[in-house]
Amino acid sequence: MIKKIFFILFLFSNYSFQASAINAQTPTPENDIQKLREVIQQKVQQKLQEISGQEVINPKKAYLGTITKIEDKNLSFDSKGQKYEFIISDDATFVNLKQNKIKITDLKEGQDVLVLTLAKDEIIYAKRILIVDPSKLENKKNISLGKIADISTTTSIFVLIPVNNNSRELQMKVDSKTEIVTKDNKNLKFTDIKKGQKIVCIYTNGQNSTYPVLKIITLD
Amino acid sequence: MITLNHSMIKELSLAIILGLLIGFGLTGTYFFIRQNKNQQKNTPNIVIPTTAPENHDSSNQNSVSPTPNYSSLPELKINSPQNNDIISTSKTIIKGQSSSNSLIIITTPLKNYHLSADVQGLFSQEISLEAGFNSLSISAIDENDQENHLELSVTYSAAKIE
Repeated sequence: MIKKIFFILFLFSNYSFQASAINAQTPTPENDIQKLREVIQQKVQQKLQEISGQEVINPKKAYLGTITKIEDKNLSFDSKGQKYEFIISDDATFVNLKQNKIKITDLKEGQDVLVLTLAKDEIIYAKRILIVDPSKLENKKNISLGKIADISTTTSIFVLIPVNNNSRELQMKVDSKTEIVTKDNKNLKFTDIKKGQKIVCIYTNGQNSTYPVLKIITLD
Repeated sequence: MITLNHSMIKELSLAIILGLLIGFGLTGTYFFIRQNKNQQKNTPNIVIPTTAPENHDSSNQNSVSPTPNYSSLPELKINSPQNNDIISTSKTIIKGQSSSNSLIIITTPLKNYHLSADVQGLFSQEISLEAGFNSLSISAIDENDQENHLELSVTYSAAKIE
């Protein structure tokens, strides 16, 4: 009888020790909070590194815009509504539309120019001023994500309905230069694209209502 | 001298066992109640934020949306080159950040590129530049078909500027 009792006591005490050991291994909320803290610290450090990396500013900049005032060595300039003041450097060069060198006196208010500048000792020097035709420098390419509503394989024309504007229909024209690829850059033919397919279209502004397509990226 | 007979030993043993069981029982109950109280104290009041795609519009960065807003624009940021930079080589690498796994489309005067941002939203693409001014157009399309777009101007010039 005594032996049995001691055996029960032994089992009971053994169970108590094991239960307490399991309890100690269970992760506590404090451990989770500590892990969370470490992750946040890492993220903050990453962001700080990114920010410090962005602070390195290239002293060489080029601005496309219009001369608003030119007086001696001072050049006032407007680029997309932003006003700039430059000091024309003594060794600055000036180039016209035909790529010929011109004099500073050939520069006039209202001329469209590309100004290549260098920032030095908190002054921005205009080092090179090129007269340009801004219409030739514009990026005339458009990007549209949409679904093919209709397709004509005989005329290489299809109708695209943009995802962000269902009421609009874009008539697109594919030619021999049009690049047709999958998202993974696998080449396709025009006959591979189907009605209802979701695509990204890169196109230019056509002379009529049909837009010439430069690239098609299929998404499904 | 007290002599213990067999029945007395039995009774004594039973008394000890009962005492031990009651003792263990009370101690166990006490620790169980205490532990429960500690857990309630240590459990942080976690508020799970509603998941919504990040909005590029900086004016909305600090605003709190009560409902998920899946119609917001995907993030799109170019880390390098910077806008209006002069680049002395005919090739440069566009590095930026967008929403996770977004489709990135870059159009340049010479070519059109497409690539996917990684899980963190990072992307990088080497592009060829035309001599002079280059107007680059960069678009991001996220997994919910939401689009964001930005323009970047860089000038390729081999002329010495110093």
